[in-house]
Amino acid sequence: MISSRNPLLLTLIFLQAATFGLLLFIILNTPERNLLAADRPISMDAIGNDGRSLSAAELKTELRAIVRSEIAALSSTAALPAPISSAAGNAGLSESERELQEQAAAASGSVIRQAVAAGVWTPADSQALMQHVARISAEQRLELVDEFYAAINRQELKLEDFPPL
Amino acid sequence: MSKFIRSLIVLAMSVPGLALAAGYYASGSVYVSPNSYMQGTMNVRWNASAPGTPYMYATGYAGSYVGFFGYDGSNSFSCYVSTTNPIYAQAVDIKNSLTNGGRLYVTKNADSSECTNVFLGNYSYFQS
Repeated sequence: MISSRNPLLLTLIFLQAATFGLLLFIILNTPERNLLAADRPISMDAIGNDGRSLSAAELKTELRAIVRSEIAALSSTAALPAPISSAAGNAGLSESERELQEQAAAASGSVIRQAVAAGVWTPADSQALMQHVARISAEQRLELVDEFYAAINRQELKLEDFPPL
Repeated sequence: MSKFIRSLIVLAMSVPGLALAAGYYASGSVYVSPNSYMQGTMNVRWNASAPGTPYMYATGYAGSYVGFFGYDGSNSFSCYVSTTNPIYAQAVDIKNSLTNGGRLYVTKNADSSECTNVFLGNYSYFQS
């Protein structure tokens, strides 16, 4: 019960209020309060792979490279085309689907022939072939497999990556 | 006393680590006869002393074919078993059964990339 008959309690309440007011004053009048703002400057120590500190410009470049690689990784998986539903053969395909199938077969053949000419099958070739191989018919795939396997058996193609064939 | 010894034996047998035999181990290897056959063990992957970067593997394209590949550090081999080949079903089984202890032997004719024989043995003693 707060009353004038309890001077000790009144004194305590006064002291508490004064302390709170003082703290509020300090918080609002010191430069550190800017740290609460959304546009505060970043003041962190960034360390590079070699262990040395990065400058702001280097940090910016590093971050840009990370964002780019992440976007590239996302787009490479997202870029895989949807397979043609009746890839088992040409029957039942629309004119545009048949055209896409022919284009995919030609592109797949081109990837294989370029790799054979280079004498090596790389991860980039696997990625390139992956873009097309789901769109070709079973017959077209076997033709490509024949071409690809024959090149391996002629010792004309060394695998640096396992192909999706 | 004999009761004590019997207890020790029972205890030793109940701990798998103590019951493990040293056994015989063979390092993995692959040999390719160009355009003819390949034979080797799947655990060649773990043989760090094998020259080159030898490997064996099998692939399967659902409803289309099963492929077998090998490289012995000098020569490559590959062949496939298409769905119309009489050994297709067994080749699928073999492809699905390849493990570290497996010895694979695959042959083909010179004028084709179709496999003619696919053999698999699974053994306990190959080092993995």
